[in-house]
Amino acid sequence: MMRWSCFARGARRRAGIVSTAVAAAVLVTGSSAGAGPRSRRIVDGEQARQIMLRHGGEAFKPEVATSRTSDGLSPRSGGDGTVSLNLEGRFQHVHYAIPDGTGGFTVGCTDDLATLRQATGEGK
Amino acid sequence: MGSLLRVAFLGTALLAGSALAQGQIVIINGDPAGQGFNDPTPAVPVGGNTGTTLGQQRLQVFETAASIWEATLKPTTDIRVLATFEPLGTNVLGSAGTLFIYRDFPGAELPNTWYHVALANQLSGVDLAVAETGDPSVPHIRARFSSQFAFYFGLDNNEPAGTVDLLPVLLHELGHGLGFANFANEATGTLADNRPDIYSQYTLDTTTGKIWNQMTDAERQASAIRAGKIVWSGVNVARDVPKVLLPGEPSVTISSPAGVGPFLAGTASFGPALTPAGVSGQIVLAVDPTDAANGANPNDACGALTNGAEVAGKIAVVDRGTCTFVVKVKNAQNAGAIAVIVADNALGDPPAALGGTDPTILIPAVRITVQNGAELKAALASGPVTGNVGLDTSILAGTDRTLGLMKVAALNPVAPGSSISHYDSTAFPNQLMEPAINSDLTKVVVPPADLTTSLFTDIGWFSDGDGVPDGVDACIGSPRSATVEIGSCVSKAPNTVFFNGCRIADLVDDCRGRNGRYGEHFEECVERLAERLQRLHILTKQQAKSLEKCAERASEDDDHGHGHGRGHDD
Repeated sequence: MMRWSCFARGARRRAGIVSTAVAAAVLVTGSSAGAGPRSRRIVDGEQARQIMLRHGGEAFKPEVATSRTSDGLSPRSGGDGTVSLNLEGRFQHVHYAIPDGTGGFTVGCTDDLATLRQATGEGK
Repeated sequence: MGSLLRVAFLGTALLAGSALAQGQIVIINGDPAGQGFNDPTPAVPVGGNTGTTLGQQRLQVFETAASIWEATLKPTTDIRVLATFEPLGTNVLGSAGTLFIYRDFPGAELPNTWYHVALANQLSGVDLAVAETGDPSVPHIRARFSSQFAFYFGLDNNEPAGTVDLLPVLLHELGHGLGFANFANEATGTLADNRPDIYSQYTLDTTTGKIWNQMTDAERQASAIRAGKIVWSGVNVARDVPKVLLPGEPSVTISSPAGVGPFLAGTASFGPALTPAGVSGQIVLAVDPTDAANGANPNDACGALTNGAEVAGKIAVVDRGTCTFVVKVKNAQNAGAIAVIVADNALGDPPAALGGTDPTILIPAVRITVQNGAELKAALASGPVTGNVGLDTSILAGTDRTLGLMKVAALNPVAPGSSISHYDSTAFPNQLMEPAINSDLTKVVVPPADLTTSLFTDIGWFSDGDGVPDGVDACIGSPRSATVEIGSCVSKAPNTVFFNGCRIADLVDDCRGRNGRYGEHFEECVERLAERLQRLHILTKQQAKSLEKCAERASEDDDHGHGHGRGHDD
């Protein structure tokens, strides 16, 4: 059966994650000493908070994540012919799990809002 | 796979690439203090995950998934994933996807075609998003996972029953963000900004012979629901399919009367696995009471069967609905059935799997579509029906019957995003990029276990920059020298690239045979090759002779067990 956990707020975990400042074109050089299976650059702390504010601070909205239209999005052209499109959180893929009634789950991936609503019990 | 080369295009000049320092998949921990990755709730290390807090365990799974993709794709620029664990709503495990798409960038294999930003960076050799925005920390992929769901955080694919293993889910979602997705709306057929994308370039409809990028919106809309008819046409997936997939499509075949079936079947997560021999016998419709406790449908097998004598020793057909699949199959088993066919009660093609757990079920069970169920029941109403529930070993599980190519998930009714941007769910062994995550998935994303990286090869992750799109490139990683080099000898023969991405150097290399040695046979092979290329006016007489001389010299070197040092044929 699905289990729900409530996680207590507490002091921010700092051990094992070190971030460093951005320098020139190098984004971050950090390490996750002992926390991960290999040394990896992980960005956290104030720098991560700033990135969140700029690029990912909005709450999860199923109707946006599952949107499959580019209507209203504006391509940007660079001088060398490169064109980009900021998807603004659309065209995401959403994973869901539906209890199968026998203690397990049916786990699937979609970005169809109707499928997602059915999975979350919103659609009948 | 050939050595990874970076390709740099300056104007129209093609420059030789070289091995680059590897980029990393950088995880940006977007969670606030005390939450998500920073959750200090104590946790017991599990399945190789050594974290001692909930946050640490979450981070280790992310790091493991990142390491797997990093080791596989060898990105030349960093891929930044902005990740959080947060409340996402009931039953939602997580979401991920690319934040930007790019086209017509330096190094793009196809013009006017959208690419995920991570792949576009790989092809261009620079971080396009940074170059555009001036922000060195701009993320490429956004990933959110549920802070409310009780995931299994072990790294050993050994999740207990009733839990969901986060690692394959994360590998799957990152796979979408790295390129395993189109930018089409399957419900309407429209493309992002009305332009093709690299994934749709290799999405082929076998009924029309058109790829998705060639279709009108209406054609794409119609194509999206042609279950079993949409395949991946890239040469790298096609090459790897026989290494990965096993023969045996789950099927219900009808031996009598003629003209009925065969029916593609969805398999059950309980009971014995289907076998090539399968279970054969007469097929009969199960009947159960129609009361409040057992449901109004007399064929849903939600209660003890009332025609047990008829069902005993036979294959039972039951309708989906009212109760769980395991209840239906158990009731049929109790009546003596030797197998069960569940006829769907809702549109859905291909037929989905049967979920549930019951170790006391000892007979195989499958699901067929509502249309096929109606056809089977109509046959039953007309007289005796005999058949088999098993594996059709004439095809590889997950491939189409006409071309033998890997099917993508064309679902009817359509489910935008689930449709097409996944492999077909009939693949076996189960594949990471099927719409459903199966409990038997491992963390391996390359052949012979998995075809995800093969598709990434097709869309350009390992491009050799020869101007031939990798989905039609039979020789990715070709030697890029201007003239053909054999051993230490540099010939005068231009290293011409052919339409299939192979160069003359590849053809010469093929002459070496299995042992990789030069020698008399190698010389004869190169001589014949040089003559053919001369006849085809691909090489001049002088160039052909130069090639032969180099072959001769390489063989001499090989015979003497040493080289003469780098030199020219003259």
